[in-house]
Amino acid sequence: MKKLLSVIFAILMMTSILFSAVSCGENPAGPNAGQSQTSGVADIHDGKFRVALLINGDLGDMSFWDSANEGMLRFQKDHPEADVKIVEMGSSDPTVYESTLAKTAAEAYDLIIVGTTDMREPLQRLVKKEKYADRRFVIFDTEIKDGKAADYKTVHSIMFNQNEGGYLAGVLASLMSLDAGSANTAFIGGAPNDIINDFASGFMQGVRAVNAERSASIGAFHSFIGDFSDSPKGKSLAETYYSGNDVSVLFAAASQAGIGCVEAATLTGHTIIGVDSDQYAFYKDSNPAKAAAIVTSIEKRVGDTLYEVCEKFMADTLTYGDLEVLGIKDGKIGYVDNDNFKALVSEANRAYLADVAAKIASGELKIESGLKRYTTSAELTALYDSLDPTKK
Amino acid sequence: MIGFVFSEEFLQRSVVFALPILFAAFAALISNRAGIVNINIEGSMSVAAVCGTLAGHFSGSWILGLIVAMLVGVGMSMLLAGAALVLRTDSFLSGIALNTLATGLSVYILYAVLGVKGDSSSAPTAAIPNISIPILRDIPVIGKLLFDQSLLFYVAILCTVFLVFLLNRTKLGTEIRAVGHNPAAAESVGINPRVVKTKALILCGVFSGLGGAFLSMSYLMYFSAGMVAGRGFIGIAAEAMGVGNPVLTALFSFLFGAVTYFSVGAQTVLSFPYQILNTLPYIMTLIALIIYAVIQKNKQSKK
Repeated sequence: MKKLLSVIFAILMMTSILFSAVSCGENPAGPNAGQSQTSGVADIHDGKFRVALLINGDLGDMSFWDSANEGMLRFQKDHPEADVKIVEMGSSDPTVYESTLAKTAAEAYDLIIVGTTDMREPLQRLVKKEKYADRRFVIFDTEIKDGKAADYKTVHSIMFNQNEGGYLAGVLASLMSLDAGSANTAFIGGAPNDIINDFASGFMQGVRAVNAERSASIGAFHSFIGDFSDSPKGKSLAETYYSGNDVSVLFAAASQAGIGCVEAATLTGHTIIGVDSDQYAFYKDSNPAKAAAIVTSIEKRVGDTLYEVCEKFMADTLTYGDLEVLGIKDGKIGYVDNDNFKALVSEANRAYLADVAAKIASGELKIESGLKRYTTSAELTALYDSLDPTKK
Repeated sequence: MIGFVFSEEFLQRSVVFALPILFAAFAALISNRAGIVNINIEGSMSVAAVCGTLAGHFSGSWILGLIVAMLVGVGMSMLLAGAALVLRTDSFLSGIALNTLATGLSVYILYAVLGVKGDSSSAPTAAIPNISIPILRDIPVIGKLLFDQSLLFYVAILCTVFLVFLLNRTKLGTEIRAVGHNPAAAESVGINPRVVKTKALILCGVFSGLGGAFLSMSYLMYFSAGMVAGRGFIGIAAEAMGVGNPVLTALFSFLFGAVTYFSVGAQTVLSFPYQILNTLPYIMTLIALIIYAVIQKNKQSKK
């Protein structure tokens, strides 16, 4: 009897490992065609285009990673001759990132795509190895090394001007607050990392610009949940703004934790600006009440970007050892103009926002970056504080 | 700032943050009193939260969702009982293993049922109702705190009373305390420690289930991966502070809830570095444990 139970328990533990693996979606099986036994690195010159996207996060965030995933799936659908693999490495265990990258590079992938700053160091170390010299890499949402993209001859770096998206959100939020007669608006970030600060910096500049032009004094709170998954905390933060601080619309750039903010907007009857993907579209059918609270989403079109990267690779026009910065002018940052947006935002404000976007695209209007390589944290804090209602 | 701390909103929201911690602390309390360490409360809450919210969504009944959450909590506890009591593994190590299982399992269940891995916000659950008592809720300061809360707030109060009664006035309570204090002595008078510990773990599972259900069926209407966010562990700390006394444990849970909410809410009223605010609940845990250790040491030196 005891033996039987031991066996059952052992099986249970095994399943536990299996479950964590499944939920991380890591699928170690890959194409091993032409794997050379001597070097351990597969030969990629077999005429088939193989591309892998390594996701160092979790799918289902309804923003950044889902967008990347969608772009790659769309590419696979449109190009059945190519072989697309997506590996979801999960956010819980960063120690697997480097080994998964090395493993993928050893397989027959022509192009390997990774994203965010967490992947910089693993990739920097990997590309230094001679045996991967014929592989090509793309790293997005960061530069392989600040200002040093040229040193990495097989890596193409892509960054986004999320400050432009933040600016649009700031302009829209303050215009809507003026119409609603609210004194304040707010920015809620996941954690104060470089990308989120860039969003926030743009948002504050947008509010400042509207204040200057309309001689208004809309205040802008800023706060951070602390991580990207504690949705109860996100909800509470947003609720505090909505119910006690005269905020009627806010901008949340906090991935999954931001969905908690959407819940707060829904419950208190206020509105929110979503981020990265069209969050209204996610809820339109399944949860109309929630969808109705989402004015628009500031899109960072990661999926489109990756799709084009793959096409460029196939056409042999992708360049390496360089940094590409994409923004409104490239159609990679923007806002969603859907039915809900038309219903909630006045025509004049819509025209105003479109005009601002056009000015940014043409280069007439330049938004300052919030990335730490361009802006010191003291400057950033000064910008945040200048609009902070608690400092007035 | 003083105004903020004593505002009606602050009190009400502190309770919201305290409730999951409180249920976790009660779960820890009942198992600790029976002498079995269950550090899998975090994991149990997470699996119970996802099962409860999904059951609530598909059945359209929050009662069913709540029952499912409690049953799943009990199920998770029974896994520990199987490992630690039947197979005599180390309960601490088994707890760690079960926490790992729960992290994956909760997302797996979400994925198996809805096909998403992040959260179930596209499938909102039938919510556990709020109880709002007219007139009484308008009493200044404490009105909203006491008379405009989730149903589970009142359940928590009942649980506190229930625990005090159970531990001090019932046979099972005496057995639990005896087994926790000295299993060999208890066994010599005919109490089967394993049976008693199993009963305690069943209760522990019920409390974990309530904690999970509060997060995914009352405060939020959906489950989100990682939403328990350490509340199960903070509950264990609150229980340690409350030295196994239900009332003290409840008070410390409230304190932890208040500090957690302070770290969130103060961002909106104070110009204080957010990084320091966010560490407050953990600093508070440390300070609390230091005070606890000093008191214990003094007690021992007096003996």
